[in-house]
Amino acid sequence: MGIRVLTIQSEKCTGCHMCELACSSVKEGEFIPSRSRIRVATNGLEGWSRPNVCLQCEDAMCLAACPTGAIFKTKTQQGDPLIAVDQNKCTDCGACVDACPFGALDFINGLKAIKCDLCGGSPKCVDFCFYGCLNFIELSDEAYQTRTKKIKALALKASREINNLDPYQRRIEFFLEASKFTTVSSDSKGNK
Amino acid sequence: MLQGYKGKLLHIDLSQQTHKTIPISEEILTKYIGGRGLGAKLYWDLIPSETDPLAPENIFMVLTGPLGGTMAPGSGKHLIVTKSPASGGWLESYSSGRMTPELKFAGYDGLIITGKAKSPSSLIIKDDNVEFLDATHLWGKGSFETETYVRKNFHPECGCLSIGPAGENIIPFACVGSDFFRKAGRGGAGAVLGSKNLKYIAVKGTGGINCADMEGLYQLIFKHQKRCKHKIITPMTLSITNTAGMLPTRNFSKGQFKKAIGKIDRDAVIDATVRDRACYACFAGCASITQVKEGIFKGLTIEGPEYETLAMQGANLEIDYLPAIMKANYLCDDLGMDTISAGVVIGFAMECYERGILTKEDTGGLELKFGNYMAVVELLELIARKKGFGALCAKGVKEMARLLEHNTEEFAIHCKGLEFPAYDPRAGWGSTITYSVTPRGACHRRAWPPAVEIVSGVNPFIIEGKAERVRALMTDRCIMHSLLVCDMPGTRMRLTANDWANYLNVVTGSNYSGNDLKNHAEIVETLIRRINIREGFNYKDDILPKRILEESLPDGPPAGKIIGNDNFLKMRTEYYLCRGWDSEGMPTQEIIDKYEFNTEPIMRI
Repeated sequence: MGIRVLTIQSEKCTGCHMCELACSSVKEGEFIPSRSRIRVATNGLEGWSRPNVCLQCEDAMCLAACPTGAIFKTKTQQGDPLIAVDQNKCTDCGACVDACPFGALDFINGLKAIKCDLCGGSPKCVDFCFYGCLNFIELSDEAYQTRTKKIKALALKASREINNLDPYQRRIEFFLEASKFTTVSSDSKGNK
Repeated sequence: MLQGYKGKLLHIDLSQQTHKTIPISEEILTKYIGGRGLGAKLYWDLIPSETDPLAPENIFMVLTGPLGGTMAPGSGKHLIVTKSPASGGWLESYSSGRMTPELKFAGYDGLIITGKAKSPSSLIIKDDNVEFLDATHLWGKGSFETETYVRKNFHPECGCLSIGPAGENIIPFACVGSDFFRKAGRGGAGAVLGSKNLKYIAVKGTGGINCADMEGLYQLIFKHQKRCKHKIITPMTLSITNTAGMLPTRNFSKGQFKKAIGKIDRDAVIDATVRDRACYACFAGCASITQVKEGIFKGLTIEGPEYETLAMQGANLEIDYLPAIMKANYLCDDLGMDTISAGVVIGFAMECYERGILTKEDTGGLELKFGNYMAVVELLELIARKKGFGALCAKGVKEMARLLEHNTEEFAIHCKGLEFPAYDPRAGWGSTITYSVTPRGACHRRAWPPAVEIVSGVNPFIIEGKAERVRALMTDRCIMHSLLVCDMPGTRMRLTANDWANYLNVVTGSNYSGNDLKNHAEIVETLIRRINIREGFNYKDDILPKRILEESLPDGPPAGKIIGNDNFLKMRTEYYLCRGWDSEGMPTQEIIDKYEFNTEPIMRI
């Protein structure tokens, strides 16, 4: 039994934003992309879009930065690695937003730290990505360890450069590279 | 309570720099639905016939529909309704991008913009907050620079409408840009914004949209998405119309452009494609990012070109060099001009030049021969800036023909001042009806007869049955345009009125049937007819150029066939009658009473 991760092949993103709509519809009960846990950055003139979502880092910088222990490592109901937030402990201090080098956490009006919880192991965004950009796939232990190392290395590199960048800029600057680690050959895609 | 809608419009008065929200009743929404239907009601209520399209009294509306901002397929469309600078009557122009979702998230079903700003201005809307900003520093700049500025200084992920120099210079085929390469192209909506001194409108919303039956919506999407197995792009149309002898070539003097094949068709566009794109909330993904790999335009990257641009900036000008068409596409989008009308205008000028009606002296030295793409590139810039010879072309073919005389109106290809799109009616006679009776002028979007005449094998060269077919096709489109979804995925997935009723019901919680929506389409079509009649139009305006009715095409299936005025009039009259109008296209009192138009105005200005 391998380990399932949400993968992003940015070059396949068409900018349809269905992932944001799907995410907010299950998490908030309405179409409200401003509260979506997955977000798409778009450059219409150059003609590209890039989804951004929590990578569920093994060595999560948000977790390390949280002063109240609200962010913790756990597993989804279906056993997938997950970084979760205890809303009761979160004080909305923003340390996790500052810490995430990939801009996967952001301030949202009226809400404490919210992040992707992989919908308990059946991510809705993947169901509604009809262009093959988002997949929820099983990696071998070995592949998962390689991914973990690469993400850690990039996170360390990025964290030295993020001070002046807001989460949106981090998504543009660093997430594309991070998402590449998770790109897998098409034959090992999940069942879509 | 209806879900999906926000239940209010935002009225912005540019003269007074004020704004207020206007509630819309459920009764109105239920009858007029949104988009085209709501636009017709608002135009009827708000724009009196004496209004000059370019005066502060004209109203510029940006409308959404009940499905906008949801996951319903192709629901990222917005609709601009205003009085047309091209025709002087009803104008509806559709585009996509982020405007509709952001408007809805901000809490509005539409914008009603009145008055005129004293100097170049812009409008920033963030939820309840409305700001009027100076835009003097952007005046004269292209749409791309304007939008880049907005995304940098306001919000990178906003909805943004903007105009280029063509809109500022009040050109009757100036478009309104949205998300760089998306355009509300036809009929001169950009000129209305220019006349109001409004350079751009940017909207960001953080709110949400309710949906009555989320699971029901998911299931409809999964069901219909399965019908979209392969990517369909509009350039595929080119080889079809070329084979059918329908592809406008040399200013509509031919219907086939043999050099197009392999050079400016589907294969050529696919070769140039570097990435796929989709509109907001669409799984049909028909857009492509293309790049020029070599030659003088090397490195140029655009979204497109779509079929209409390939045909009108390519075949119609006998240009078989794709990078030049892409350059023209880029220039039109940046300068803010409709690629279709600009293509007809330049084709007309080229014919006049080759016939000696225009000389090199007139054109300011431009060698305006068919196929000279460098002249086209130069001329597009001159048109948008109304410089030199461009000032004449900037008037559109109707006015150009009036000024040039020499019977040039016989080959000035337009109806009601709106230039023809890229399907020659002589190769499929159904389009004589759509081009002549469509309220905004010659238009291929309110119905697309080639779907039955070329694709489905109905005889293109008979008059029998055309009116009923066109009416049915128009009904399908009108439903989509009121729900405000794109007609591209809808048509492709063969979604019926019943399917759309299902979408509408799961989102709004209503109980429409497919027949209710078909009836809605009849109401809207008749209301817009009444609008144009109030504007002074009648059957005498539902006409086509002499070239189309009395000349034959030389190649392909339509070779040697002449439509003839009598045949045209028979089809047109039949269309009027099947709508429940009289033989001169006037809605009868009986039909007016039946549709109960005399409800209270939604608002007063």
